[in-house]
Amino acid sequence: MSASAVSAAGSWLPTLKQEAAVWGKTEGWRWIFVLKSALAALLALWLSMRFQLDQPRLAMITVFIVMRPQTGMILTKSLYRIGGTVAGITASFLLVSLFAQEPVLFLLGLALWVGLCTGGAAFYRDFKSYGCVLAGYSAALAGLQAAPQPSAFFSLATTRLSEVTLGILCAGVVSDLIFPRRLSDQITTNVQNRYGEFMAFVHSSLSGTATPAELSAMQMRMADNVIALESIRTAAFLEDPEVRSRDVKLRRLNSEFMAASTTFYSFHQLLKRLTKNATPAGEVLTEIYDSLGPVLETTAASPRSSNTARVAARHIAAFRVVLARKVKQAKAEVPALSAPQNKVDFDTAIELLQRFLHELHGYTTTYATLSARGQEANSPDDITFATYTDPVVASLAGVKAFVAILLIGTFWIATAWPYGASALSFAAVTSALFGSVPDQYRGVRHMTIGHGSGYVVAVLFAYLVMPSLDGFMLLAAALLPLLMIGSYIITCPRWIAIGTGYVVFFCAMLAPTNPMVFNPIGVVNDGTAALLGTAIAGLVFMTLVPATGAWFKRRMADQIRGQVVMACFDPLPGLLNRFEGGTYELLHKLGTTKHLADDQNQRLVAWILTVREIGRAVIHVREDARRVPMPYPVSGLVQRSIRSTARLFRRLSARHRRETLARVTLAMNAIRHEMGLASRTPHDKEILRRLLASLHLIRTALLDDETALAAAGGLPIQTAEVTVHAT
Amino acid sequence: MPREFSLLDALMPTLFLVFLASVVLQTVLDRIMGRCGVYRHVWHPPLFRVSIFFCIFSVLGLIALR
Repeated sequence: MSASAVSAAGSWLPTLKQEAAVWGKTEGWRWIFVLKSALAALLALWLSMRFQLDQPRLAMITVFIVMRPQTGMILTKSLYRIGGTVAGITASFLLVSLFAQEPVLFLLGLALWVGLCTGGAAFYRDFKSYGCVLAGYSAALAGLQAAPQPSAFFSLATTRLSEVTLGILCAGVVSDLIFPRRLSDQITTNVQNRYGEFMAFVHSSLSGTATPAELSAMQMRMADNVIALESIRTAAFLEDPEVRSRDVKLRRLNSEFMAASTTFYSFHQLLKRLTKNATPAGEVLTEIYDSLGPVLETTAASPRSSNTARVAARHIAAFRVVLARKVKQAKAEVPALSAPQNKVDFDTAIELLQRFLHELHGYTTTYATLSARGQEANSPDDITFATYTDPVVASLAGVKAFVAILLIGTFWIATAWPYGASALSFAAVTSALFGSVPDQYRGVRHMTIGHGSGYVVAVLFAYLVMPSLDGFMLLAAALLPLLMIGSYIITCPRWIAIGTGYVVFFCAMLAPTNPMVFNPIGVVNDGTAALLGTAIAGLVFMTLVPATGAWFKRRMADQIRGQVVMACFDPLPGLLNRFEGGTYELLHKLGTTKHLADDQNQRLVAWILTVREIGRAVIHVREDARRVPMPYPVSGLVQRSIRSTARLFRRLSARHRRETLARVTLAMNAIRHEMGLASRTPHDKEILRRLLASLHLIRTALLDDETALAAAGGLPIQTAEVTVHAT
Repeated sequence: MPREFSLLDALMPTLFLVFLASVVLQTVLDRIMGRCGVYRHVWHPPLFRVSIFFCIFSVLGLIALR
């Protein structure tokens, strides 16, 4: 019996351990975050009471605005936040000193400042965006409180500054010391996941097992991943010396990944076109392509260690040799391949495949050496990741905030509303937060829900629980569960705005002070005003040029096409990275804006993919055209085909598309002629061949009647073919 | 040393200056130690960093206010 009891104990203990381990991985970090943020808030509360600051709630609110579960980059953010707060306080200082007697001018200036900060919050990302949020928020807080009593402004402003800074520091220290989620760990998981995902993506599109929708979802995920790595990397650069020493490699990894995935996409598209038309090149290519599968299969099993990645890199390098042999063999065996049209198709595809393998090899090698210490001596350091946000959309967010503040201010002045200040300060806080969320529509709705629930809970707490509390310990104990509910909601990425709204509003309404003031009527009055402020800001954000409107869609589409124009005309150094980074960013942004109807979203994604293919080919053409000396007529033709491509993407029309096709074909013919000249060295010929392949890629993409270009250009394929052959 | 100093006629605690100086000192030290790889041998780098900061700040503060 005892033996069976022992065995029973022996069997449930490991199970329990396993359960605990699983729980720790999935749910555990949430609870850690919940406890951490509650602890930081209570610490901030206690410290500000201890220091006898007059609004401890500000420190608490700041803690909750600042704490974010996904990332550990608190200390980096802290610097920007403190900077933002100082800027905000300084702005309010200016406003009060200039317009203390003039409410209209004062409110106008404040609205302008908040609008500016909201625009900044929408324009920048991550910690810079937070700095802007805090600049707007602290200016409104300090300015509004000090306006009635300008003589006391200085001490008020320094107190506000200390409260906000205290909140920032408490959040930073607590989240850094207690179970920190280290950025370098996050980078490692991010990189590993992406490697595995990319291999799976290549593999499933090779085998044809995944539907187009699945492939598109995978691409979206990878785009999110690229952007996430970039933002973690920037933060880690300031924070973690370990990461700093790997920085160049990380940047290279990102750029190599983008290059490889674009090349793969181009290759896949080309292959689809060739097999659809049942060309002999297509058949041969499919065969070659199928033999790539087994090579990647070993790699797709997500190489966790650098050793397996190194083996995978060796496999890929070996396949490149095999590929060259197979190409020779196929050319000898299939005579149809030497027909001019088939030859150029085949050469282009092989060129792409080789480039893809080259890039994949580089990516795998970088991945393998990532964990190795030490910098390579001569690693080039020209890889920059350009982030791009539409300045017009960002300034629109600023204008919205300006209008909201102005509306409430007018109402306040016109009615001499005693609680106008709290309505206004909440409108300022929420509009700054609205500006920084990617999907404003959902942000507004969620924030209002959060504020409403925070209000109800705060009123109940103030009436029922507060009177029976005595001393800080009891207060902390009573607050703890309510704060924890809010932080738990924050851990769900979808409901982050609800959780933040709830916690912020709850703390603001409760206003714990030392000594505690019991004023339930004040809570109701203040809360109603603040809710009204939020609601008006939300209404302005949702109705004034709504993000679902036709204007936004057109703007987005123009921006996507603008990438090609950039590829055509921007200075070459570093262009490839800028182009890829910008395209990925657009893809990522499309992924976060869920409010667009599905088919519209799909159309925009299709545009991005076409743009990525053509833009990259254009950049390759420009790079290669520079490397090889060509007589004027030929280089002029190439130039003109590039210019014509840019014109097509600036202004879509069937005529421009026909014209571009004709020009590209002309340039190709000229290059083919140039290649035949005896005076060309093999090196030149190699470059010319690449040039031809890139131009051919542009041509096939223009001809394809399934891309977004065809859908918008409205040009039946036959006419295009006739034009091409006629030239 | 006086406990407060006057910045544009506003009285500020001297400790604030000491705090800023400690932040600068700590940042420099952090860079150097990161370069030398000290953090690889430390169990909890953030805790280590904060502790170093506290040490610097307390020593400087005690010196300044004595």
